[in-house]
Amino acid sequence: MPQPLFILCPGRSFSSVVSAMIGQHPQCYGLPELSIFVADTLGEALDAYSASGRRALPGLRRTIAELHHGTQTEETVDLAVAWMEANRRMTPRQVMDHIQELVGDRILVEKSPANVIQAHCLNRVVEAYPSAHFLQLLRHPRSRGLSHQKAMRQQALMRLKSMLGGELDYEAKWTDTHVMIHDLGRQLPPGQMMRIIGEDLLRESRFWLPQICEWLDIRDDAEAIEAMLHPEDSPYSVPGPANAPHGTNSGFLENPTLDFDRLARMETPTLDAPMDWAPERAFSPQTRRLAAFYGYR
Amino acid sequence: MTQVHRKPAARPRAAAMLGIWPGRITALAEAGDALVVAVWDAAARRSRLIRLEADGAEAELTLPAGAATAPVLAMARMQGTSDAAPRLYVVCSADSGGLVLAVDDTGAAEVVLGPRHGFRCGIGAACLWAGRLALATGPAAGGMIGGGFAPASLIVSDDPARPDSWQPFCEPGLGDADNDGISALAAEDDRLWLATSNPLRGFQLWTMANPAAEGWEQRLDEGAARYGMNARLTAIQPWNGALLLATGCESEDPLPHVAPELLRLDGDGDWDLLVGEPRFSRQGMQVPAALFGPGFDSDCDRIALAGTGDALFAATCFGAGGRSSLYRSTDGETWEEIGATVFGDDVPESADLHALGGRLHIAAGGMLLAL
Repeated sequence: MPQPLFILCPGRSFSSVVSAMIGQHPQCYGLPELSIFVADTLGEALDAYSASGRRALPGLRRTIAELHHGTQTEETVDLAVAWMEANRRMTPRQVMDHIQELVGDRILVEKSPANVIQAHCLNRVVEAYPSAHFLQLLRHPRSRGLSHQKAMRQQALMRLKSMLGGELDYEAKWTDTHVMIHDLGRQLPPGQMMRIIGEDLLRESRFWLPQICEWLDIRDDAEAIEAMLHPEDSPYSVPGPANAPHGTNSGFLENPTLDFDRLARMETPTLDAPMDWAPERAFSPQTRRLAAFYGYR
Repeated sequence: MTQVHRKPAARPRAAAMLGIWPGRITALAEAGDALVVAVWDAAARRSRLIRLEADGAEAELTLPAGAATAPVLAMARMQGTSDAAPRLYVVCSADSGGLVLAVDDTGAAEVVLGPRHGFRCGIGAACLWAGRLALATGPAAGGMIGGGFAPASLIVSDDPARPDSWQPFCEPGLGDADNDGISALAAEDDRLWLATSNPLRGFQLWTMANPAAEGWEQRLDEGAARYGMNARLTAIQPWNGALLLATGCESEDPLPHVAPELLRLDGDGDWDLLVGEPRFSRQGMQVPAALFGPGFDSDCDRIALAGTGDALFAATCFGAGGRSSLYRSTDGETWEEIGATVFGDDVPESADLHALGGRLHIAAGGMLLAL
């Protein structure tokens, strides 16, 4: 079986669309956010999410429903939840192996931001899949921070937290996460982790996607590239049933079809002005230096 | 100061030991059959120029007051238009700015460019180009700039003995305000190569033919698609119609250490990654042809380069506690590690490489070897 591809980035870094694009390649299978590497077993992951008051693992619910029953309805998601409860002892690797078995000889594409939420989660991914492909996905710290802030404000709980404790540190989220990913890349053999600037990929998809195919050693013919330009064709690129409505970025689910003319005009912001979410502060020298490592100004 | 790591068991060394002096060898030059060796003793804050004859005899050249306390950056033998005979021009990097000395064959040395001539720039790199001496200016170590030349400029003279002969040869930073210096220079036949350092967007490589009618042409930018991680070039080595480039980057905790790469610019303008980080690029996916990751799979700080007629050499250079590796290649793509046989039991932390008289000369700390 092929090794999976893990897309690594902090949330709000275009990972939903990029994962769905790559996942539409005929030799790949794009997954919603499984978020199972946050714990040693599926049961612990279920408990961790349940304890936070959220509906646990909607991405995994949708995946199991789709692969076991060929459709995502409230009924098949309930069956998927039952399967998850029955397999609480499974390790994340065993869950992935099960999915791989159902998908067959295709590269699983996984992009959960939870994989990089803490170092031990990322370590768990690498220990489970020491030979996987890793793609570090970049988005400018300003636009990522703004997108993160917007998402937080749309969530009632986060609005409350924001009122009580002020804004999250969107800058540190970008910097700390990418330092962690970068450090992993240095520990891996050359070529096992690659890096791509999300803005470039979306602006010029036809130019950059064949390079990703070359790296993954999969077809890069016109038919394969065309399939990758249609992330909306994924069974996970629509809202799920009420008991698993998302499992990936909700904005992407509302509008998964790419407008390439608009994307071609997408501008990359600058690091020079104060941070939008903290106008009294500029980006730190550390963030600016790391951003310069990746080609951002 | 570079330390040498000694193993308890003796192992024969393939390279010839030409000499060893207290301190660090900072520059080498040929002077007829002799070599001139510049040694910087950081503890004593003193530079020495030693003339080393082919039979091994040594003679120390007397440096003028002021020059002896500055490390030598580069040396080149040329005959300026007002020189009666070729002289050795010695470029020093003092806290108060750069100095250029002229040393004749009798050993007499004089400062021909320095603060008393109104020159208060630092000097970052130097090379001989088409009968001229070219210097890259930068801020002086002491922070002073001025003296009529902006930092990150190239100044050139065909008569270095005359302070008024120096002329600017490019706009500061080649017209890019983010270029904070010129980190490397190299000449190949009549062509001059220059690398600007740019911590925001990565190095740029520029060239100019002689005569300079066509002006400067940019051949590479954005650190060859590695951006700020290839902020500068530390070495430019022409070899067999191509150009070998060693990159560099300074990074401080908590940002990741960035090890250097080795690139090749072909005659047709395309570049190849020889040693370094695989990546997507405007030129397609780049995979290191030598199958080594950054720093030859090490966390070294710098890669030194030299090319003799038939071979290329590269050495990994570390700070305190590292162990340099020395590699040899005949095509730039297949590299053989030869450090164990060359260094024997005395593996240095870093090594500077010089191709002189068709032989590789290795300066490791105060030790000078020839292969």
